[in-house]
Parts: sequence; structure tokens; C-alpha cells
Amino acid sequence: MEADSKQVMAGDDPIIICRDMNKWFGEFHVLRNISLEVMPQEVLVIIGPSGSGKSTFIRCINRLEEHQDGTIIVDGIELSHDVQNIAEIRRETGMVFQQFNLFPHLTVMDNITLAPMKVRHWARDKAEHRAMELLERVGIPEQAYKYPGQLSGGQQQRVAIARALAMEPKIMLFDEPTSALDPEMIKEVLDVMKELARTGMTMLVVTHEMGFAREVADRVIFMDMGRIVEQGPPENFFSDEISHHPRTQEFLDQIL
Amino acid sequence: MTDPTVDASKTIIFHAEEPPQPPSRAEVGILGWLRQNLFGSPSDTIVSVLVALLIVALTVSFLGWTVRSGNWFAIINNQRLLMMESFESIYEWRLAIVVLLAAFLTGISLAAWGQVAARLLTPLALTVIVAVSILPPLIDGGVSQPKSYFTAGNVDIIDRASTLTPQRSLAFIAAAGETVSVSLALDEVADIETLRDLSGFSDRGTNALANAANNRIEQQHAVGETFDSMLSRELTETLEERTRLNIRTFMRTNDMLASTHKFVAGMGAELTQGDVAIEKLRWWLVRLKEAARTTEPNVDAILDAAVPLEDGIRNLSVSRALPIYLHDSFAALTSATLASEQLEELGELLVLHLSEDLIGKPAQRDDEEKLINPSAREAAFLRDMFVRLLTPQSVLELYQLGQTPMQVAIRDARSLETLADGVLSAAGDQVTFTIPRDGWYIFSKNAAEGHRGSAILAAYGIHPIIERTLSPTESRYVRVNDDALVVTAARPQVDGSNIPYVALIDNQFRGLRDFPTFLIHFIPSFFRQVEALLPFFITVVWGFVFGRIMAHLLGKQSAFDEPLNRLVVLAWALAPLLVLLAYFAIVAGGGLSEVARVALQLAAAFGLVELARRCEAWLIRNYPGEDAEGSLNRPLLYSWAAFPLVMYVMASGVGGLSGAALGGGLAGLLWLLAMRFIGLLYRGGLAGAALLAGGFFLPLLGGHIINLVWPGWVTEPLSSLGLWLGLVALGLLAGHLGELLRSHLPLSVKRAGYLLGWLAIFFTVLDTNTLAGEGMASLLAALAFALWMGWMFFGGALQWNSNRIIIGLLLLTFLWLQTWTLLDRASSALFIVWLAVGAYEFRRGELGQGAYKSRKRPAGGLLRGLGSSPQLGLALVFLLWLAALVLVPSLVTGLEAQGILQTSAADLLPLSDKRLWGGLMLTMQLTILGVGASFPIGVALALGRRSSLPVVKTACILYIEAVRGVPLITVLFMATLLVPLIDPTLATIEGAVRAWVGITMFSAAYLAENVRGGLQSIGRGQMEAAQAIGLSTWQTTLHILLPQALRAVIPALVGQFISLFKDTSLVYIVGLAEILGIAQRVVAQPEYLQRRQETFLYVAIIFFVFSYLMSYISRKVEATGSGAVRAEYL
Repeated sequence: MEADSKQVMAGDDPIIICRDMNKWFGEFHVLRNISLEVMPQEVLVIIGPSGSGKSTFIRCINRLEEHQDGTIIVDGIELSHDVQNIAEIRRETGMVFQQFNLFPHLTVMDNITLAPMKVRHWARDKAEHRAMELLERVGIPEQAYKYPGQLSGGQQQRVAIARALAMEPKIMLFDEPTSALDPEMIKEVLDVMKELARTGMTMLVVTHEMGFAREVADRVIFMDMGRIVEQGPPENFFSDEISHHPRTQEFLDQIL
Repeated sequence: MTDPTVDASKTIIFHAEEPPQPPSRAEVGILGWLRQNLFGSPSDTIVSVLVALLIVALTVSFLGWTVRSGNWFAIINNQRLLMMESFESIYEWRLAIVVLLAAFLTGISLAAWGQVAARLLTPLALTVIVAVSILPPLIDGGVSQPKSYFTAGNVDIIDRASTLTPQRSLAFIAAAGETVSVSLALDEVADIETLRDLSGFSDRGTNALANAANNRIEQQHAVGETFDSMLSRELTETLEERTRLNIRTFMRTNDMLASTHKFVAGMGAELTQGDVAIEKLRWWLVRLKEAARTTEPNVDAILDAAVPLEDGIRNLSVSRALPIYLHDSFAALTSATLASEQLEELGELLVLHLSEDLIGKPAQRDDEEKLINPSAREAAFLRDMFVRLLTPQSVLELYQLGQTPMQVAIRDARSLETLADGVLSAAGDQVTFTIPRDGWYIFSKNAAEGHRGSAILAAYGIHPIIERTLSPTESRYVRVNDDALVVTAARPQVDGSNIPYVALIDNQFRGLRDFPTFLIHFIPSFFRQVEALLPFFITVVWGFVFGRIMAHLLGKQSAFDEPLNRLVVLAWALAPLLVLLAYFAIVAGGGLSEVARVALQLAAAFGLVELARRCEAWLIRNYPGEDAEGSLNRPLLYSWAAFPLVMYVMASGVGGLSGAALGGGLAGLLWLLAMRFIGLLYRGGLAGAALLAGGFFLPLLGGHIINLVWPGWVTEPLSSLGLWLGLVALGLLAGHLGELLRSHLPLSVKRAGYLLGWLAIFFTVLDTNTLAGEGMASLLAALAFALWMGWMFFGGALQWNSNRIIIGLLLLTFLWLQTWTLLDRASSALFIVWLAVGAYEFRRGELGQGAYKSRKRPAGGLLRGLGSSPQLGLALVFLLWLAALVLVPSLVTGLEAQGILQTSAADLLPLSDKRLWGGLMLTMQLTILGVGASFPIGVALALGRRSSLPVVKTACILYIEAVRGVPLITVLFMATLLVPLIDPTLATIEGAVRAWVGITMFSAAYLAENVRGGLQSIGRGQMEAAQAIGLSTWQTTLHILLPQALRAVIPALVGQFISLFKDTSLVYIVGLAEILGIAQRVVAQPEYLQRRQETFLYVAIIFFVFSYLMSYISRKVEATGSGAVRAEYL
């Protein structure tokens, strides 16, 4: 159903291209020869055991981590040491963190409007108007003038999503967005993400929510030991009939 | 009883509907609080009671001291010295403006930050105003001034070694309508107790007499005690032993003592003739000491008295006479042996007394017992004898006080004509006179013709005076007791020499005060000083009302839907100012009776309070706004941040600041306001350009137009019209170019364009050296201007990062240090700032973004609300322009002509002499300027220390560690003593400025570490989140890291500020007199010698009030914004 509502254009160029990407933390080889292409409007779910490099990988895409080898091209801009390029890529990429990372000293409204006003130089009226739209979209317009400290975890994460969306990014990166939440709050955040996927946002989601992956993902990637072990559409990936890489099978056996 | 027919299992049991009982009265309210907190357990109770007793005891003794003996004249009469030392009195109005500004900001701050204080403010202000209005007239009318005492007569009064001759004539000052009356102080000299307890201003003679009375009473007491101790077991045994073994020895020693004294007396006679031989004296001294050791009870006194004499004659030739300078020592010894003489008499008495009972029957045991335990009657008799013999003659008998008729007169000081006179000889006699006019009078007193003797006179209406020297030739005389009457006329003279006046130093207050005297002496004068602060109180209230209204308006736009509302609200907001102005206009107009003045003050006070209450109630009812105060935070913080600069400029003046520049600055301010309007009315560039141009030209044009009508009225119209035109055009061009570059061109072209544009501005400004004078200052100003312009127009696109900015700032600081003359270029700099701020405003207005910071209003602010109605907005803009047209040129040059301020227009704020700064003013200057300057430096250092650039980082670490490793005193000494050695030209900088720089440097290093601590407490996630949404490093620091870091370390920062405030007292080591230094000076004044407690207590209170204020404000600021939920979140 979801696949019907959005149209993945086959002829488009990939919006993210990674080629032979490597990264070390000191001696530790975190990411090994990652090569991946993400098409516009594609929803990519990355799963894998802890320490497999999932988070590091998506953090490399907006340069929160620096890769040491290989190429990353986002929306036609190559990620290099050029500060201007990094700034432009960050403008096109929204990110949602496991720990929300809202700015505690600003109200929800200021959290959301800060970047559009400072980076995109929007007028305050425009930014606030847009922020209210986004808050309505994530279902908490009434919280606009509260401080993050006054919100529940689920609400905070939805604000974080709204904050990321306020920059009107082309790509959204989710780094385990539901891991720090209580079970009943997970649903409200996932609903927002599903809705976002339906509208055709390009999304890279690191998560342990297999239900979400099965329902929303266009492609599921399994990572282990810094490598992409296996990838495929969710119906194949979660199917028992298709034979999996032994490591994938082991992982799937444990979580399903 | 259970009913057996009812099945218990099926019965529904209804509980009787008991209404819930409210907690008993003993558990809630004050009683409950007391029970819980003070009397919770037996041990609690004991501690509470003990502490309460302690508090009561301390309070009672403190209040007792305050009322009965504290000499508060030391403070009241030195208030100006303590506040501002000898700051030029012609510039005092500038300080007043600073304090008024602070009061206004305080009022707004209270409205925004201090909920509890806000509730307290109204009653507090009311109380102060009512107290100021009512208390002084009430006390002045209801309590009479106590008497002053003067000795009179033709007999000298001996005070220890000196002789006091009662003055024949004394000059005093009195106010018209007061009554002066003089009578004999007979009640006071009834006996020595009343003489001792005499209370009032007393001259030296009276004081000496009362002291003598006191000595006599004390001696009687001491001698009685000596006798009592002689009756104690030990001494009695001695006596008993003596009696038993050899009463003859006792008699013989008595003989010897008698002969000793006789010898001394004889010697004294010889001495006065001047030819006693040293040899003889030595022999005599040996004998005297021997005799004393064997017999004297007060042997120590005699031996002590002998020491100086022995030392004195040790090296003298044996045959010469006793030198004059040793006569005093000899006299002291003589008086010490007086006791011996009396003891001799006592010995005889004892012998007489005892021989009756003892000597006749020496062997009988009973009688010995009797001696050991004399009967009460015997003891009383002996004691009385002993005391009477051992104490000096009463001064009452000696001088026969009050038994001689006295001739007194009040004379006019100029004509010396006698206004009232009479002879006082009995209790009812009195000379009374009503003073016709303020000024000097002469009080003459002497023994009546043909009589010889002394008297103490009690006078009403003659009070001590202190002289305040304004310059070597000019003095003013202030009456001490009420601090109200000030006479500037010179002291009266007779036969070419000044008549002594009733100086405080000779007429100190003697004895313990009663409560009415305390009231009349200190309360009116205290409140008169408070009354001088009344404008500041009223301004606080005004600021408070204004703040409440602004807060509500900023929070709610709906209040502006009705044009009528706007006007009403505006009128209400401004009403207190009008009340204030009206009040001063009326008071200054004069001719007001005391009653009318009080009524007016009360009306103003109640009116203000009522206004505030109604206004707030109305707003809350009609326009409820949540967190309305929050909207005030930012403008308030900016205002306070700008305060130090205002303070410095106002206090010190600005060298070379021409009236034109000042007018330009004011015009700029007005223009800025206008921009606020126009930014809302029109978004188009054309209107902005028109306004920009208008803002500059109207004042210029206005000056010329005014000159056309009244030639020469504006003597200094702003010059260089062409230059201004060029600059305006440049600003407009830059603005539009920036827009064009931002939206239409590729990045590389943009960058090239930015660079070229920046360079063009830089060199243009550099070239027009008229802007900033010559040389380095010009370069610097141009650089600053260009930087600012570049920042404003292209800031978003140029990739600034913090390191570059820090390097830039360091460079600027360096340049600035190189060119102290910059200050002299302030006038030019002011124009530049004006222009730059204008450009900034222009861009914001044109972009229509961010200029009107608001949280939840589509349109914000009073002005903007007004502007939302185009007609009204236009009308206001027009009015503002009109105001600029009239005000600016008149401010520039018309002031002198108008006589508003008695200063030259071309030099409106001349430099004050910083060497004359002192007192609280200097303390506050050093504190506020120190805080104001060290805060940005500290933050910059903290950021620098975290920088990734090794040079910047190392420099910051070196600075911080070096400064933190040195005591503040060393830094101050270096700033004061060492710096001039390095470069002699620096020695011309005033000490106050150098101390300020030293304190700032010192404080900045500590602040840097505090801020760094705050920065480190912020999690990595915040930085990552900020980067992820695309903020640059600089934006992240400014908007994410610093606000959180600073908020986290508010307690530490304020602690640092408080310690800076207290550390300013150290500057007295380098010769500056801040308030503690002045206090030292006050206690060194001869009038207030040994009056340290009052002065230092006062200084301590001042220090405490300001320190507490700082920590209170810090708590309030902590609780603003996210601070309210911070604890919850973390």
C-alpha cells in the first residue's frame, strides 16, 4: 500500500552514493568498504547487532563522523574537507538522535525555528508559521511554547523530528530514534516516521523495530563488523523461504 | 448489638457521611509552621528558645547602643564624602541621570523577574514615601531639640593638666523663626550624680566638670571597694597581726607617711620657686618609696608615678634645679601621695577607734574577733570615713556652680548690636530671643558685674556647627543636629579676628541620649537625605509600572486591536513620569507650605500605587498572557549590558566629544526608533531609504532652518553634508548589493563580490579621514566600521569561525591599546557607530526578520503594535521626526542659550577629574565597569582556551594561568606603579582607570575558568545536534553552547562578581579612596574620633545590600526562561 502511494522513479540519480568507504577509530576498523547507493524517496532501514557500525555509518553521511577513505556524495555534493560543502550537505540532511538532543534552553518553537532563521535566513514569521505546521504534523502543536524539559520522551522525539524537518531537508537520518523511549511512546514516534515515509522523504533509519522495517522500508540492510552483510527488500529479508547469510540468519533468529 | 434477623453477609454497611474535617487550626498557618519548625521536639524547643533569647539579647543591646550612644552624625554629616568624595559638584546631575537610569531599569527588572519583590514593592515604596513625607515634620514639630550646655564665668576650670577658660563670646547659626533661650543649668548641678548624667551637646568646660563629677563618683566607688577588700580575711589578718604585734609600728608608719606628705608639700613650695636640688630629690624619692612599700594600700600608684620622675633625673647633674619639663611628673607624684595623707588621717581614726576597744585590753581574744568581724555599724562608719577622706573635693563645692549670677546676651553678628540680654541668677531666669533671619549670631556670657564664679548655662536653639571646606577661600557651615541649616556667609569678626564658633569638635554630645533626642537628631536628617532619593524611588515605581505594562503588551498582541487601548495604555505607562515631572515642577516652583508639600508627596505616592494596581489588574483581566515577563528578558539584559558604558561616559565625561556628535548620537537614537516603525509599515527598500536619509538629514536641515528663523541660535550645524550624503548612499548601495549577491549569483562570484565590496568600504572609509581624525585612530575606526558593515551585510555568507573572530578581537584590542587617543575621537566614533547600527537596523527592517524578537506574537512590541495601524504609525513617525528636528539642534547648541543646563553646548560632557573620584561612586564604578569589561573578556578567553588554534589557545592559557597565579594586590600595584615605569606616558592615565584595568584583567581570568567549566558541562549531543541542523561553529557557540554554559555557571559568575565588588576596597592600597577608604578618613576626622563602629557598620550595610542584591538578581535570572524547568529536565 505504502509503495503505491509514493513513486520511486527508476530513472533518477541516486541521492546518496557511498563508494568503498572506510573508517577507523584508532586501530579499530569500524566501517569496511561500504558501498551503497540510495535513491530519492527510498526508505532504507539499517539493522544489525551493537557495534556493527550502523550509527557510525549514518553519522558519516552528514559528517558528524569523518570517513577516512572512499567517497560519499550527497545530492551531488562530495563530502570533503571543504567547509562550504559540509554546510550545504547538512542543510540538505536532517538528523534525529537516540537521545533527542533538543536544546533545553530554548522553547520547542525556538528549537525548531533556530536553524531556518540562522541558516536559511527566513523571517521569523515564516519560520514560526512553518514550525506550527510541522508541530501539527507530528501531533503536538499545543506544546509549542513549552520547554523540552516539560515534555515526555515521545513528544521530545517528535519535536526533534520537526526540528530536523524545519530545514526542509531532502534526506532524513534516524539514529535509533526509539531506543530511549518507553514502549507506549515508541508507537507515537513510529507513526510520525511512517507518515513521513508516505510523503516520499528519503530516509535512512537505524533501528531495532523490525515491524517498522517490514512495513515501511523499501530496502533493509544488515550490517555486521562494519560490513554490509546483506541487503534486500523487507519481504525477502524477513522471509524464511529465502536463504540468508549465516550471520544474518543468526541475528534474525535471535530477534524474531 | 447485632440484629439477629438481619443476615450480616447481605447487609450493605453505609458509613455515616462524615464531612472531611479541615486540618485543625494548630496544624496549618503560622501556628502549624511554628509547631513544625521551631517546637517539633523537646530539643528543638530548647534550641529555639535559646536562639530566640540570644537574638533578643543582642537586638536589645544593639538597639540600646543605636539609640543611646551611637554617633550617627559621623555618617549623616559625611554622606556626600562617603558617596562621591569630592566629585565636582557641577557634574552631579550626570551621576543623577545614571542613577535614575539604573532605578528605571531596576523597576522594569522587578516587573519582569521579581514576582515576590513585585508584590512587596508597592507597600515598600508607599512606606518609604509616607515615612519621608510624614516623619520629619512630625518629629520636628513634636519633639524639641535638647539643650546645649556651655560654661560661663570668670574662673578657669582645671581639667587634669590643662586650664579651660570659658568663652566670653561664641558665634552660632540659627534659622529664622527659631527661638533661642538661655538659662542657668541648676537641675543639672544639683549634685554630682545629675552633673555626671548631664546629656546634651556640652562644651569642653561642661565636659570637664561632668568628667570630674564622674571621677569623684568612680573614686568613691573604688575606694569603697578597697575598704571592702581590706575587710576581707587576708587584709584583716594583716591588720590584726599589726594590731596585735605592734600597734605602735602602725602609728609610727602613719607618722612617717604624714611627714612624707608634709615633706612633699614643702618640696612643692620650693619647686614652684624653682630651686630644688636634684640631689635632695633623689634622697627624697628613696625615702618615699620605702615608706610607700611598708604602708601604702595604693603602693603601685605611687611607685608608678615615681618612675617618670626617676627616669627624668637619672642623668641630670646633682646640683641643678628640677627642669621645668619635669614639673608635671612631680605634680603627678604629689597627687598620688595625697592618698597617703588621707590614709594617715584614716590611720589616726582607726587608732582612735580601735584603741577604745583594743589597745586598752590587747590580750583579750574577744576584741580581736571584734576587729576581724566589725559590726555593721562600725563597718559603715569606717567605710564612710575612708571614702570621704580618700576622694577629691567635689567640683560643685570647688567651683560653686550655679551660685554666681551670670550676664548673657544674644548679639547680631554683623552689627554686634545686642538683641536680647539679661542677668541669670535663679531658677526661673531666662533670656529668650526669636531669630529674625537665617545667619550668624553671637552668644555672649560672663559672670555678672562684680561677681566671681562659674556656671553651666543651658541653651535651647544653639547647636554645634561643622565647617565644610569647599575651597581654600570658601566654606559653608552646617548645623549638625538637623543637617538642614546651611550658612555660606563668612564667620563673624570682632576687631578683625574671627570669633570662635560652636564647633562640633568642642561641643560633643555628652552622655546617653534619650529616645526623643535620638529621634530629633537623626530621623529628620536621615529622611531628609532619603527624600533626596525620592525621585529614584518614584522612578523605580515608574519603571515597574512600565515594565508590567510592556510585559503584558509584549505577550499579547490583542491588546492593540483597539486604537483607543493603545493610547490609554501608552498614557498609563507614561503617567508616572508626568507625575514625577509635575511634582518637581511644583516643588521647584517654591512657595509651598510644608503641609502642601507633604500632601503633594502623599498624593503622588498614592496616585502612583493606585495607578500601578489598576493598570495591572485591567491588563490581567482583559489580556491574560502566560509568561508575559519572559518577553522582557532580552531587551532588559541588553539594557543592563549597556549600562556600564553609559555610567562611565556620564561620570567621566567624554574628552573632545563635541555637541554636534552628541546631537548626532541622539538623532541616531531617534532615527533608530523611527526605523522600528518603518520596518513594519513598509517592507520596500524605497521607504527604508527615505527614512534612512531622513534620519540623517532632518537634524541637519533642522539646524539650518532654525538658523534661518532665529539667526545664530544653532551655532554648530552638523558639517560635511556631502560626506554624509556619500555615506548614506554607500550604506544603501551596500544593502542592495548584499541582497543581489545573496539571491542571484553563484558562490564563487558571491565570494569575489563580498571581498571586493568589503575592500571598497574599507578603503572608502579609510580615505575619508574626516571620519575619525588622523593616524591610527582613523585606521582603527575605519577598520571597525568596515568589519561591522561587512559583518552586517555579508555575515551570513562569509564563513566566520570563532578563531578568526578571536584573532580579530585580539588584534583590535592590541590596536586599541596602542591608541589611547581613540577616546578623544569618541565624537567621530559615535558617528560611525551610529551609521553602522543604522545599517544594521536598515537591513533588519528591510528583511523584516529577526528585528522583532518575539515568541508568540505575529507582530510584537508596543511600537510595532502602534505601527500596525498605518495612520497612527505615520503620525507617530511624523512626531518623532518633528522631535528630532527641534530637539537635536537645540541639544547640540541651544542648551546654553536655553539655560536648561549651565554648561557649554560645545562641551556638554567635559571630562571630570578622575583624581577626585572616591567613595561609593568609585566602588560602584570599579565594580560595574569591572564586571562589564571582564565579562566579555572572560568569555572570549574561555572560548579561546577551547580553540583548536594552538597560538590562540596557548596565549589564553598563559594569560589565565599567569593572572590567576598572582594576588590582586600585586596586579593593582603593577597597574599603578610598574606600568608607568614601562612606559612613562601611561603614567598620565588616572589611577582610577589603571586600577579598573587591573581589576578587569584579574577578574577576566577567573571568569574565563568559570565559563570554561560551564562549556565543558554541555554534552556532545548538543554540539552534534546543532551541527546536524546546519549551524556554523560560531552560531553553535553563540546560540547553543554559550547560553547553556552561562546559565549553568550563573552562581559561580555572580560569586565572582560579588568578590570583585568587595575586592575593590583593595584599591585603597594604591591611594584611591573607595568607600572603605573614605570610611577610614571619616573616623580620622577629629569630630568623630573613636567613632569607628557607626561608620564601619554603615559601610558594612552598604556592602551587604549590594552583595545581597547581586545574589538575589542572580537567583531571579536563573529562574527565567528555561531555568524554570531546568531542574526538572536535568
